[in-house]
Amino acid sequence: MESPKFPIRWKLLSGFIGLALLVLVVVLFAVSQILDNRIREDINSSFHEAGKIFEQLQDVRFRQLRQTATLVADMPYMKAAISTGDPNTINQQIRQELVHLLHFDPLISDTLSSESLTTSLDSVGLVMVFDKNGLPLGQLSDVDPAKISMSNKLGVQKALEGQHPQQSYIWKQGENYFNVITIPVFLQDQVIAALSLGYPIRNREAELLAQVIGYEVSYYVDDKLLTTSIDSLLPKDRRVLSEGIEKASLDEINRRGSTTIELEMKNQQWLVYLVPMVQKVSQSVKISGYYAVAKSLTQALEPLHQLQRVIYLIGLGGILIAIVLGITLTRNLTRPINRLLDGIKRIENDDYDHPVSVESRDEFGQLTRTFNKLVANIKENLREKETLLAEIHHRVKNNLAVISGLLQLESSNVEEEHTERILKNSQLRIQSMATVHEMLYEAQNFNNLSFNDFIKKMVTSIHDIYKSAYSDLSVDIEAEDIDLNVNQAVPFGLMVNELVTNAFKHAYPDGGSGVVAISFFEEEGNVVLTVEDEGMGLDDDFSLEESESLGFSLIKILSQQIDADVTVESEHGTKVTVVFEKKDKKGSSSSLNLN
Amino acid sequence: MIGKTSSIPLVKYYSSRVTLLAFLLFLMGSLLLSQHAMAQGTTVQGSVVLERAQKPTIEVGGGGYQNKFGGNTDKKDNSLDDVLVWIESQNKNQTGVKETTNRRVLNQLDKRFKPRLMIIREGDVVRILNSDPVYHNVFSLSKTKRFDVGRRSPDEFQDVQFNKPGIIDVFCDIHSDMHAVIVVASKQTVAMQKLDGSGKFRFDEIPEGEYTLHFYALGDREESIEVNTIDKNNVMLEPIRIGS
Repeated sequence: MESPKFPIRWKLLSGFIGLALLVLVVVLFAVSQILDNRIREDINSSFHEAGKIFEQLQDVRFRQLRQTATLVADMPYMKAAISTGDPNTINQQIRQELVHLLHFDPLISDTLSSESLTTSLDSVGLVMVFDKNGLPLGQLSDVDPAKISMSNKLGVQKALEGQHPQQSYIWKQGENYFNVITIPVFLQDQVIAALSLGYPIRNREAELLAQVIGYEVSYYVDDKLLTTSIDSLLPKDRRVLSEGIEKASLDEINRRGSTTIELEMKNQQWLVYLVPMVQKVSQSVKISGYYAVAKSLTQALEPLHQLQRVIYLIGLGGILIAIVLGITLTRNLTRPINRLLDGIKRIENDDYDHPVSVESRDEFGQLTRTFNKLVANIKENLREKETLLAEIHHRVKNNLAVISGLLQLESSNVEEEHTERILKNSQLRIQSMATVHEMLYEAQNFNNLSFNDFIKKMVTSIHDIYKSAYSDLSVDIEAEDIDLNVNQAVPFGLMVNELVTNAFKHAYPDGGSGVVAISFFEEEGNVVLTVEDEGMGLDDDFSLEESESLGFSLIKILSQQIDADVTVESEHGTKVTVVFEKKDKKGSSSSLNLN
Repeated sequence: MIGKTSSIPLVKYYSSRVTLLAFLLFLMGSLLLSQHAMAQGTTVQGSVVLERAQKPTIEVGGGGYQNKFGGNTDKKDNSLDDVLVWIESQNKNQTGVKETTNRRVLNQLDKRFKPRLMIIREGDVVRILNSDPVYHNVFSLSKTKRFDVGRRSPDEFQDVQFNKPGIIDVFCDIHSDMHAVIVVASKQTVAMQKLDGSGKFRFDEIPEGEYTLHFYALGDREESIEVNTIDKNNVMLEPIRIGS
């Protein structure tokens, strides 16, 4: 047996693969969701790390600043300059010391070297000297002529009290913001002045920090975004960031020391971690701004989103495959079955001529082909048997015809009328049986017999036999086209034979002219036959049950055989009506039908 | 103004010593005389109340450099309680004030200027002496007298003459915590004193005239008042407060 080219197990297998793919996609999607959360958590926790680095860096910055400031404040020339109280001398000294320190302090060189030293030191750093009352004695730029006391600036008063700074403060000088520390200038245990040193909060600062910690860094001071390392931030985005920081939960900052907010900037989703710039003022703590550490969530999640897109594509593909396979599979499975079922129903209706069409090349195709082959075989066998049966019917008919012929020969030799009649009757009966068989094999249909044809034939043959005697009798046949089952046809055929013969023989015993009317029709599932003559009629006391003539006895027996009601009327001749139910009765005689 | 050590003849140095001794003897003698006989001038006396200079509270760890560079900060600096007082005639042509060749010494010992606070008269010469086993320097950025004697090895000295009155802050560019103040009083100054802890001062035999009494303490604490000694034997002043 040839193996199917695209077997069902492959179809099923691919269907299951599609299903498995779907399940896989669902699982992958769940996993990617979990990963998404994990990445967020990771970013958050690394924010904490970044925040720590940030604080450490700030601390290092603070220490550097303090170291530089202490060095400047401890320069004898600086002290000497301060002790003169002359701004010009002090300013000159500040510049000299700073230029010296350029080669010493990385912080100063970092703040100064990137920008032209000659143009302005002021733009890159802040150095100020105050006297004991906080009045500016000198600074990197010219002294403010207003001579306003700076002791209200954060950290100045403490320095003037001789305290060294523990943290840097954010000052606004002009348009710039500075990270400033202020230290006392001592002269033999006496505070003679305070020195402030600061570096400006600039983009470069944020960018350097961003490089170190690997996240974007922004400074938010005085309710505005001072600087940020995020490239090409539009005013709209800056506003978003500022608003985000403003709205940040103070509760959480107070409780945890930091908070994380989520924003949308530059068409990307950002996670922003806020570390407050805490400034201790006497006993209280003031938040003067925030360090904002930012990470683009969109960028961080990009690989995952790519993966998700791939997953979606695979999922879509899987769904398509599953749908297509589902449809084709069900069609492939049900259609052949339905077709096969139709084929079987056709066989049930004896239709062997329409084989089931074969479309698929799978097991169903094989099954259908095999079925068709089987049907073809059955059909062949059936034809052989029909031929055989026709042959048998032919032989039976021939044999009956021979017997009939023999009886005729015998009857022509018999002198005695009674014997001759018996022989003729027998001959007629046998003749009628032979006719049935003849018709059966001629019709090639052993199931049903076209009975109106039979009646005509039989009447013709009866008429032939009795022609000489009843040459003037005419037979009027009015028959519908009714097919009868063989089981009913043979007894019924004999009955008709008897009735017609009776009509011929007994209605017109003396010959003469007359009409024998035969009507044959179907009425509400019943077959009705009437044989009517205009002859002499029956005796008045005639009763079918009590009649002892061979003809009526035969009729009785035959009517019982086919459950027929026989009524005999005799008024102007005789009218016999036979009514029986038409049955597709199958018996041994019709066993050739294989249904 | 800044003479080299070798350029000053030894004879002159000793003769100036003798003159100083003679002047002191004369002063003592006149003091004794004034107690017994009618004084020839007015006595001006009073007391000074010095507002205490603030004592810084140095936080632990904060002033690390202070100790490293400042030297012996552990020693108590009493010079903060010292007050210079000098009496200056308002008459520019005041006579009777002797030209002094008073040579004063500003010593550098234990990484400190000694004394930390000194007063000289205009034209006086101060010998700056390095008594430490380390190098020292003396310089000043004060407008009155800008100078820098350069670095000197141990036991070297240098004379610096001060020809303009004023207050001069003196530093050492090696030791940032060394500081001294030299007050150069004008030529019209008739008398000057450095007060000890008691805070009382007394000037005797001040010629009759109008004077300004000057006070100075470290930390730029200054005060001055007018004093008139005409037809007065004794001027008793109210306690004078000197604050920062």
